[in-house]
Amino acid sequence: MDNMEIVRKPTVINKKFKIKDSWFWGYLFISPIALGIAIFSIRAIFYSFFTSLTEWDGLTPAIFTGFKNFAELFSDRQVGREFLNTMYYTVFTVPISLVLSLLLANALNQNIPGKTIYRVIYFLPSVTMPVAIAIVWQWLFNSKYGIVNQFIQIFGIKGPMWLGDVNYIMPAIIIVSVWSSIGYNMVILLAGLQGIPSVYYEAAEIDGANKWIRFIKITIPMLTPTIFFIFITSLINAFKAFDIIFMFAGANSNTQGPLLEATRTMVFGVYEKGFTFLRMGYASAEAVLLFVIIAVVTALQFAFQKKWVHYE
Amino acid sequence: MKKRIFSIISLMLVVMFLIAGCGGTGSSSGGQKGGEVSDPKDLKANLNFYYWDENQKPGMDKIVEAFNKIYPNVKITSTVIPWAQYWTKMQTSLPTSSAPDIFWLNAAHFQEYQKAGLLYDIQQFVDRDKVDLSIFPDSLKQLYSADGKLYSIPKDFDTIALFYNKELFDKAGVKYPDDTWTWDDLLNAAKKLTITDANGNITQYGFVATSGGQTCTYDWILANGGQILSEDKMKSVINTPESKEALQFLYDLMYVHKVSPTGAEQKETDPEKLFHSGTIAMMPHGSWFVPPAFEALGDKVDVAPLPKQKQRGNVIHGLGFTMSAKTKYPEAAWQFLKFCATKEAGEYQAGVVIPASKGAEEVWMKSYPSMNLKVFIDATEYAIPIPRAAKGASGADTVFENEMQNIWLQAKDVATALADCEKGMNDEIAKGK
Repeated sequence: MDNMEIVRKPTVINKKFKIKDSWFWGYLFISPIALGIAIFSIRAIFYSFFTSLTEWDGLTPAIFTGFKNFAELFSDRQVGREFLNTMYYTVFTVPISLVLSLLLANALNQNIPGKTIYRVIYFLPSVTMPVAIAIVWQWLFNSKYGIVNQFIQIFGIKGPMWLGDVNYIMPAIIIVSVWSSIGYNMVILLAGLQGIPSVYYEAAEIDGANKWIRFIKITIPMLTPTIFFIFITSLINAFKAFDIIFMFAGANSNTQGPLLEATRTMVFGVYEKGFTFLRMGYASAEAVLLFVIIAVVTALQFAFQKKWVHYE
Repeated sequence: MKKRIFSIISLMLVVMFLIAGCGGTGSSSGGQKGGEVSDPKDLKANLNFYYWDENQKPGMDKIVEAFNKIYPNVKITSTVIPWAQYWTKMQTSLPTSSAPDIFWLNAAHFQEYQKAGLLYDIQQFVDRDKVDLSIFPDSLKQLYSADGKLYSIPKDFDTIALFYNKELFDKAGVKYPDDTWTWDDLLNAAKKLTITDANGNITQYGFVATSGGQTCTYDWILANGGQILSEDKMKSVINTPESKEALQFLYDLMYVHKVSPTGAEQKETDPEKLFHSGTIAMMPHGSWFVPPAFEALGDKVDVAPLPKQKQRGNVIHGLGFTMSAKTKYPEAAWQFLKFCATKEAGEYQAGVVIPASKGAEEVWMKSYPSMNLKVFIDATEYAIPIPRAAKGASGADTVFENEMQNIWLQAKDVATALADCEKGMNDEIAKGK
């Protein structure tokens, strides 16, 4: 008995201490980012909910106007166009980027010489400033001197004036966005690929499955949780498209006009309403609308995930 | 590999946060009471000074240096914020305690900021210290006055002229532009200066018709006897046969005579860059374009008055040194502005811009002896202050810009765009406060 007492006591203290220990250190470690998010994101989110109910120019005190901004929002034809532009951008950017990065990740998961170099090269656009990317691509897309049209010329086709034509400026933006998002998606998918146990492949190989069938029947289903993650994050990012558009259509000396009309996304609209036309309340209302759209789309994705996402 | 990339990313995030944290407001310590200071050495303050033009940094540094010889204990921290972010930054900082004490302002933003009470009324100081402001042209003081009160010390001014590349004129054997030129002379010269290669690609343009109001379209409309705004600036009167003729002329240069890059080509490649590289022979532009044009083309570039039609058309605009209403050190900030109102301060900037103070422009003209810069000074005689609606001005400007782009990109014909422009501008003016 005596002996047991002695043994039991320290374990209890130890257990208590351990819990306190891990909780304390856990919170300590996440506190910098949690504080940052609380101050710069969460507070701002709630503030914009409030602002959306006011008429505010950012300079003088806000006037509460209720849902007036939202009423205007739904009758504003420009906002409708912004929504369509956002959808156009999203519908092309997300699937193309996903498929290409999946193929790329699969290729770079093989044992090919110099694969680390390739991975770094493909990842580089993700750590490059979007503004720098846009400036370089502006030159590549130049119809007279740009490398893109010189390449197309090889096939005897006269390339379009990418950045000066309302029909081609959005495809140009989509190309750049896909190019710059592939690297990040690829790294996540690579991690997913490396998590697939090799026993499945070995078993399939013995059963006589070729490379293609193994990719379709094993790789893809086993990757669905990773693909699901990428799908959600890149969809949210696509809804928030701004920087490349700002550089291609909005940052020149002559910012307005049909080209911006063809590319102005909702986030661009928010920016313009808030900081160019000084209508913070109206801009916030559009931001809230975008928030609702993203929330609904994401909720739908979670609802449908049971149909296609396989967890081990 | 994966882990390493994540650790690199997280490291970068940490660095970014650190930089963002450090980039906040400059520290300001100590307080200061109003009233005049007898000994300049007793005036102590920390002032933040924002402006946007990197080219003018040497001039601004010289002003600060000279000011500090008189007021050694006023510390001035200058920050150059690029044009693309300048007004966004102003918009977010001016209403808060992190507002800069002194900053550059342009006429386009004066009205909104003044009405929102963000600008310090310096008239009281001007009266107290009996500052002689007669060295500044009235048109510039008007740009920054409201209800009879002055809010800015005029800094510089700019007018528009025709820049041309002498080398391209010599090669084509065309006479340089002079003050007798009309639109027809411009068109004839532009045709001779436009070169097409064997494949039918245009390799050199005689002229560039830009859609910018200040540097091109306003001036052309004015030269043809048109107007942009009514006398009291409460109405757009742009939809007239005169305006239509002027814009049609510019449109034809691009799409009929093909002597100018089209609107789409201008969107693709900045016309300024084409001029710098000797691909465009003539370009209408403002006096602030003198330093970059000279840097790119040296003594090959010169300027002539804009060609006239029914009359001469030109717009004048200028910047102002302005104090924030939120400044903690009004006295020190005012003393700095007062120093900026001297001819000496004007001369420090003369290497780059035309100083607003009379007499100091001589220094500017001498800094580029190879160019006939008197053209810009002469233009002040007939130039009108840049057209700005009395209210709803930024909305009206946006409408104008939008409709010009519609013409330049062939989305609307000139007549439709002008009708929509006048209506749209008037709607914005009516909506404005």
